[in-house]
Amino acid sequence: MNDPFMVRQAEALAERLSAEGGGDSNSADESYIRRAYLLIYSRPAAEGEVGLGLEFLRRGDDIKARRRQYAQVLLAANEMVYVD
Amino acid sequence: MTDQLPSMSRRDLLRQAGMGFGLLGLAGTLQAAGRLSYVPRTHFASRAKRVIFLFMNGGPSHVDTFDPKPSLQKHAGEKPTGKLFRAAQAGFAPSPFKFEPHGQSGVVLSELFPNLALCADDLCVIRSMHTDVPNHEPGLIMMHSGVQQPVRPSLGSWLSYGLGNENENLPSFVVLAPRRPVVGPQLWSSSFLPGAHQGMAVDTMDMRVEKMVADLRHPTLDRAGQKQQFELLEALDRLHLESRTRDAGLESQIRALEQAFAMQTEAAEAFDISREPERVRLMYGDTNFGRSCLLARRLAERGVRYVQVYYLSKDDNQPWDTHADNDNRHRKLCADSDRATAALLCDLKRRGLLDDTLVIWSGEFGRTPYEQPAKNGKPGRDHHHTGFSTLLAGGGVKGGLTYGATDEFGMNAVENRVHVHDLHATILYLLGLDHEKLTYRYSGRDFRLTDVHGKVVRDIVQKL
Repeated sequence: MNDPFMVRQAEALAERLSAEGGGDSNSADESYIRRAYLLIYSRPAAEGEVGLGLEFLRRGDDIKARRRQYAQVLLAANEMVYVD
Repeated sequence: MTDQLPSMSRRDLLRQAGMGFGLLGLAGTLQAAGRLSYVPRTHFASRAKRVIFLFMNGGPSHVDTFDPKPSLQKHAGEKPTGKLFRAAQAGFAPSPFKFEPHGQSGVVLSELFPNLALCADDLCVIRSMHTDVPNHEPGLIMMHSGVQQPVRPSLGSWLSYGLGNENENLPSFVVLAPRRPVVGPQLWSSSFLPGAHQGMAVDTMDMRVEKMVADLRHPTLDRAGQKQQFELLEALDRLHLESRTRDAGLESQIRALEQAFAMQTEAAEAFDISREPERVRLMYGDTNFGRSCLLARRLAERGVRYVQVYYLSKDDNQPWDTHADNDNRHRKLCADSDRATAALLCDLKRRGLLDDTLVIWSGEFGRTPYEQPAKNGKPGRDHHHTGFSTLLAGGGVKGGLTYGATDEFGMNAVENRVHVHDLHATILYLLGLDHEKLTYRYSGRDFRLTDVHGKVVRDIVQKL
């Protein structure tokens, strides 16, 4: 997860998700999360996952940074690393 | 409210799209490995807590190192008789090296080991080792996993599985080698044991910490920020795992990330040999093997259960394979190996660690007591598996002991024979494990490191 390549990919992904998910304000957090699941895993997010995501995104002040970190987690998760 | 679309897993999609082929390789990734369910406990009182195995890749010549054979001089040039596994193109070749007894115990070593000679009373030389095949690959796999057929769990993985780790911030099994030895990762595979017991392979070609252990630091996040990120990742992975309990690889990956996160706190310090005083670094020698032995001590000291150090050189992944120019090459190899090995033993002893750290020095087999003519230049010695020497020290092994013997010419182990299985059984015993009870159920049966073989060599074990 510390590889600079992963960090750069997460940044690019976060920008795209914000652009496609209604901007980068907290009011758009939920659509950011749902868009992320559709784009990365090709499935809608479950409610529990949305909850965990919202909690994470709102724990810090720097929305853009939180979103980058969140995108990186989704890229490093087992659902991404392993094919079902 | 989001409409839940009828879902199709990526596996189903791939299969239905006629691309199932790509999934075959994936099965290997996902197979075996599972939850850490084994509660570490020993079967006996343990004498050793950890192991450092110094592997002399290619197979050192026993008659030039630890097993003097004066008869080779008397019968020099005579072709050996009896069953030969490697055709004799030339006759017996005496060792040019002098042998002398050392220490109070009188353990006999060749002059190639002036430093180890000073540790003679800590050494246990087994002169009666034997293995099944005189070829590198099966010999290596046998010495590592107790079976010639790949891939079975390696000794380090079994110990990690049986005993766990003493330090949760470091892996229990670390492999140190400049690039890779012959055979490679199979030698430290956990095979069907849970993936957490696989050896962490560290390329020691460049021993700066950031080169050996990549990406120890996150480029932007601090520890607290990373902890939050890691907790989210783990929560999501656990949700994901809930509906996929049969995929042991998923659990292994979660464990691997936990391990990586934990390592960030301690690995930078543990792997950094530049923190050692110069005199200590000089004592080990400024060579790859010397530095690796020093790193092995740092890791053992911090509770890593099993450290495997491979003796490779820059352009040779089995330098002890001296088919040509045996004598000069042994002179050079032994000088380096002797210094580093002796330094390791002294250093462990000085720190009070030798008593419960078992150090093993061995190759996959020995070399023929008879000559192998070289196409150009000086002759060498061929592979030889029916008699060779292995060195043990510390970890509850009797010091100052020479155990077993080969025949007059060093051809076959004849007295107190010790097969690789017996060595494995003894190593487990020293660590408090019964090789017949340390099992793992896989593919319908209970597997052991020693399969259906192995006898503990109690004669070399110190009484408690």
